[in-house]
Amino acid sequence: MALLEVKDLTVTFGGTPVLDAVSFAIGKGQRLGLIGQDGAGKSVAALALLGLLPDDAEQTGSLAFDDAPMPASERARAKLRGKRIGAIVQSAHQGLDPLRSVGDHVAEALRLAGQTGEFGPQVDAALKDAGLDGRGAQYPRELSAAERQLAMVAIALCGKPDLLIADEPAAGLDLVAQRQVLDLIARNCSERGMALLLISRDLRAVAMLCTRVAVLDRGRLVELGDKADVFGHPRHDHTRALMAAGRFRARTLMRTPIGGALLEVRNLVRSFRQADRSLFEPRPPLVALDGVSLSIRSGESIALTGPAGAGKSTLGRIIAGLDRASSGELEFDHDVYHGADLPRSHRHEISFVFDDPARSFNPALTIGESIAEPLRLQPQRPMEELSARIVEIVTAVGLAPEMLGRYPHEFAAGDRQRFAIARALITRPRLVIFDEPVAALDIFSRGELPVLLNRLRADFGLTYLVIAHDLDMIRVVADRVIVMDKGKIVATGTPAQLLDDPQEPVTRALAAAALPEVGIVPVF
Amino acid sequence: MIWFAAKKVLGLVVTLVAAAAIVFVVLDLLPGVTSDQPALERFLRWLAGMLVGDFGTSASLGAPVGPLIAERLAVTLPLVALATLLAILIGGLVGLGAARRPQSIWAKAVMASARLGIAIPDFWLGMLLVLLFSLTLRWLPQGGFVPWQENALGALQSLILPGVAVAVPLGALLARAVYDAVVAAQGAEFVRAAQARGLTRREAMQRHGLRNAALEVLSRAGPALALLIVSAVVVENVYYLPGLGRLILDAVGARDVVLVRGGLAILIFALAGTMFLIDLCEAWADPRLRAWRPL
Amino acid sequence: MSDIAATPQTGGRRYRALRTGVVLSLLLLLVGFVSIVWTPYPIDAINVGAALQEPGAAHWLGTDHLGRDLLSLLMKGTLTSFIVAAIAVAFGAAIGIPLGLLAAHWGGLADQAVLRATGFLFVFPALVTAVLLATVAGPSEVVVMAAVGLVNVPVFARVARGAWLERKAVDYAAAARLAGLGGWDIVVVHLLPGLVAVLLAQATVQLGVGVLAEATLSYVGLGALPPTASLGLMLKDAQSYALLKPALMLLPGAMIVLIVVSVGLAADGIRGMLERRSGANGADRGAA
Repeated sequence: MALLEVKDLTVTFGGTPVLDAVSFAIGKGQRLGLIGQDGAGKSVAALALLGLLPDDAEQTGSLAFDDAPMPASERARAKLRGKRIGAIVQSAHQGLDPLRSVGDHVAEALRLAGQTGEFGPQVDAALKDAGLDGRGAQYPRELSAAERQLAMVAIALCGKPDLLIADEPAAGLDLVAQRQVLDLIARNCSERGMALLLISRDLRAVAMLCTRVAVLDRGRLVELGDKADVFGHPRHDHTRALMAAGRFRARTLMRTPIGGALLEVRNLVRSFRQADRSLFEPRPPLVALDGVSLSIRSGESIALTGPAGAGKSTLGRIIAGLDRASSGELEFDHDVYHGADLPRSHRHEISFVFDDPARSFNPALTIGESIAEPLRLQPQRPMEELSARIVEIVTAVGLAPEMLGRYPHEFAAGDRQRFAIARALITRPRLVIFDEPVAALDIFSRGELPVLLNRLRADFGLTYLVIAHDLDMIRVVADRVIVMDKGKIVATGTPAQLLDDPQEPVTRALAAAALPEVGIVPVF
Repeated sequence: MIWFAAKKVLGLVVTLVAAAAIVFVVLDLLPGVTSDQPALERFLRWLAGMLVGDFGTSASLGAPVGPLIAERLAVTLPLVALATLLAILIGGLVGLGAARRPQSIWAKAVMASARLGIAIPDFWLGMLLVLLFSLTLRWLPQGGFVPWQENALGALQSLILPGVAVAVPLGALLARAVYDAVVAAQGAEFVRAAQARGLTRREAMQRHGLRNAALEVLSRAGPALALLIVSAVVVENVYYLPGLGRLILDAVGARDVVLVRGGLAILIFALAGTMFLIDLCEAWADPRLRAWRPL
Repeated sequence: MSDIAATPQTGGRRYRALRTGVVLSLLLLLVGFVSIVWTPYPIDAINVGAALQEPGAAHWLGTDHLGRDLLSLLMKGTLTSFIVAAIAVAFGAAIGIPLGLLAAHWGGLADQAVLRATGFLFVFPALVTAVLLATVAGPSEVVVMAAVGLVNVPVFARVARGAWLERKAVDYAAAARLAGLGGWDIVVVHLLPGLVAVLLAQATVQLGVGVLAEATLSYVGLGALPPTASLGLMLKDAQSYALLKPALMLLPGAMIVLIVVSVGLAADGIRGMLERRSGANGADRGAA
């Protein structure tokens, strides 16, 4: 007996089909994962099930909930959402009314779920479950994007729904918070027998939470079956491709010889002034870096990781010369500096790759113009050498020089990130800093990037500092890992040492939050 | 909220004193007004006088300015009130109506006429209304004013056309602001999320969307609402209404410094005061502003 | 990551508004400029004998109460509107833009001070300033230019400040800094082009505001005086002859509406183009 039954669900926007005759069922207490790449129609499916499609969408097919057809009236549908179907919709972190406190939202959800009486304790309990203990009186803008996401999870679960439709419930969270959300959902499933439709591009989350898996490719359901079957013996090419992309296998054989110290960081402190709450309630400066010391040897690849707000990006930006340390000093190749005062003679030797290539290219300039920009750091070089170098680097990152005349918006995120890397390499730097290099990428480009990073490092003899929270990528690209927390370095070691045998609480939490890999090792 | 209001009151006082100082200094440039007293002393005397209703004596009319202004405000303030009401009515109804079906031809036509409405000079609209309703149809008086105490209904009648003339361009502006804000709220993630919690679309708009939209309208159209009195002062001329506008403009022609000064002080007070009230409304609706405190 | 692509607004529609607005505005501007070298009749040719004539072969649109040619007055009046509004825009931009940029660049107290000052100017709308100046110096177009210009100052300051802050924070400015570009180069290559477009759109909006304000202030007798031709002044004169000869009142008003609508359309078009351009990065971010 199915709780939710979907038959031939088809959705079109202005004649363009987004979902094409999708059929599946979720039994009571069953947990189905819906996977697929960006734009496959996953989120549209969630909205169609909830009855929240925009007006210009056309929907056909039949939906049934608890053996009754999904009610046609909007009110009855809303009531069903309130009482029995919980939902976390896409971009949930924007889903809070800016004028109401977080607790108000939870209370409203409880009321709509048909609960009566005093909501206070229930609100507190729901928020506590989501890791937002005592934050009920705060307003959405006082929460970080990650905390707002957690609040949305609490709101969706507080009414104890029979079915939860969760569209990327852990998007934008760091590893530990991500795990917290997944555990919370898992607990609801196991304790109350809640059924689940989990929509995600994170196969591991699906593997952890779900018993069955459905694969969506450009609006069509191409595979549906038990988790063990789908992940163990994927039948459809698209499933295989998705699984392969989620896995990093990028060890390079050739290794750069590791030399002497290239960069020394000594006792670095960076604090930011915060606006006072009031005249008599000054706020202490926010200490982003609190006495950080480290040393990077030439040829090394170091990963910098830790929870959100640990100071990773601040450190990277100071090293690159984008920001200035409050105190402490850096030494690059025997020259001392403090951040923004990085001597011009060294500027071309340190490069920085921003996390979001959509923001780091000027939309009004061609890709070629942007890539050539750093070349002014070496004006003495002859033109022919420089243009030959552009061609060489662009080819090295796997793109064609003919593309250089085009504009950034003509490229997909993955290619843009490759161009961003090309720009970083154009001056033949010695140290390259990557700030969350895969954060803005889709699942396929994400899988390719570590391979590219390792190859470039070997080919050009580079030293890397990679800021990342993706532990798998860290294992693949880093020789050494530095873990930061609250502006301090809390652990250093090889990936194997730190992640397989963690000692400090922060590292332990990180390692524990990581989800196991999915399926069998493919034979390439 | 109290602290926020206190901060705003302080800001209002500073604004008023600074504006009065500018008015005083500029008018002091006029040759012939300088007396033997130092300027600062005269300025302070003027300020202190205004606090107790003593605005000085008009040279051109030979009468104390305070009662003159009070008499004129009896025309201008009701006109402002009427026009504000009409503008909010027009803007609210048209904006909300069009936002119900933003894609419909009807909504598009209404919003296109709103664009036209904003471009119409208020005083010209006043002239058109006179031409149509007074001179051609003879429904309403074409101008002039019977005092309230003589004939309250007649007084109100003579304010209808000027009220409409002031209200229509502003109403058009409000309609656009309301329309944009409501349409934005309808597409907002938090409204969709509220529906996901179990509200119907209408309930989600009522509980979450409209309050945010109202705040947006207030911050976008609030200044225009406060400036309505300026429009009223201009339109008075079309209808020969004995309001504040005529008083000030006649004083300009006569170079009556004391009268101009007093009239402008009242006008500035009205502008700053309305803006102050709008700020308070905004804070009342927005917990983010309300939370401010100095201690 | 958005599965639901926003229904793309067809580019043609937006550009049609822009084209209509720009073409109409330029035509009106041309009418104004032509009046400098040629009008059917000189506008100071008073001929009471030919007063209040109906449209005909001699006077295409007829004559006013002083026997002046209405078409000639309209042409000159349009010129006055544009000139006064444009000078007010220039005045506001010249003071407001540097003020806004300095506020954004320095931040802190300077920023606060500029914000407070621009907020303060709210109590000096064009009418208040014009009354002040006209009392001291007598009514004239210069009074209107200054009064409207003062209103434009905070507008430009805020827009420039906002646009600057928005652009300063983008990663590509930081990338340029890493690429060794000096502060001035970053401004010229990366920040200014976007800024110019935003400010141009605002200037167009303020041009429309200025045309309305000029008409209003001339109408109440604080602006242009005869023999200068002004649309507001024409309306003031027409008031006494409204029933006798409605065209005297209808045409100048319609002209004002036409100018303001055309300029408004052009402004909307420019803004739409800006949104399209900056939206171009955001819209296809999920494209794989």
